[in-house]
Amino acid sequence: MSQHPLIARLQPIFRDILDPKLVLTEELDASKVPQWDSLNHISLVVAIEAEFNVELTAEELATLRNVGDMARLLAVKTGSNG
Amino acid sequence: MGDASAPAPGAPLTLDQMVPGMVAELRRSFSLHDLQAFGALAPDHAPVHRDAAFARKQGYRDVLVFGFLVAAPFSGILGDRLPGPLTVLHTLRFGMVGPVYVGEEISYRVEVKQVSRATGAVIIDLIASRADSGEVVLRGQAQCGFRAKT
Repeated sequence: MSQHPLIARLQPIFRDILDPKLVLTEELDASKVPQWDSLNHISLVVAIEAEFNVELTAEELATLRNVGDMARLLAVKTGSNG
Repeated sequence: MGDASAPAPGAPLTLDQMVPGMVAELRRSFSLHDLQAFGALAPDHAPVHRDAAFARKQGYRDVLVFGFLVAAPFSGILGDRLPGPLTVLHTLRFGMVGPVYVGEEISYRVEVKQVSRATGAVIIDLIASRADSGEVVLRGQAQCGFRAKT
């Protein structure tokens, strides 16, 4: 199954903050990555907002279940898939 | 000693008031007593901070102020002024760009780089420089967080 095109752009952010060898998939969530704690979660959101030049809301974050959800949200907010 | 965009002392800023570009500044220097007190508190007994002859042999002109002590005033700026007392420190990284000696006046400047309203996090650029020459001695970045949306 092909990945959402924004996964490739998210991968270096997650590797930089969580694990340099992390392989990002749409299904990945915090429960599967030991380093994905509450502090790193904040750092991920901050880095993603900066990379995509978007401002997310707490309500939007609350709806996200995994990386795929984040990619789809970013695609909507930026009007871009890549 | 901040500029026009610095928060007024005693008026804690809220997350909604945080805007990229806000700045706070102060100046201070360090005495031999400061070095002795910090060395005992840390504790750090490295001779480059205690023994002038040793420091000169290493190529410095005198004993060096501890890097963590040079960075310490940022704790006061971040906690008291910008982003202020409604936040706590999440992460901190900094590099020592140049040596700092006893008695030198150091100028400290913090500037809001990014505000993440969804998480309550504020990214702050840190810079310390010699007050007389402007030469940078420390550069870094802090992430502070509001405990709850305020």
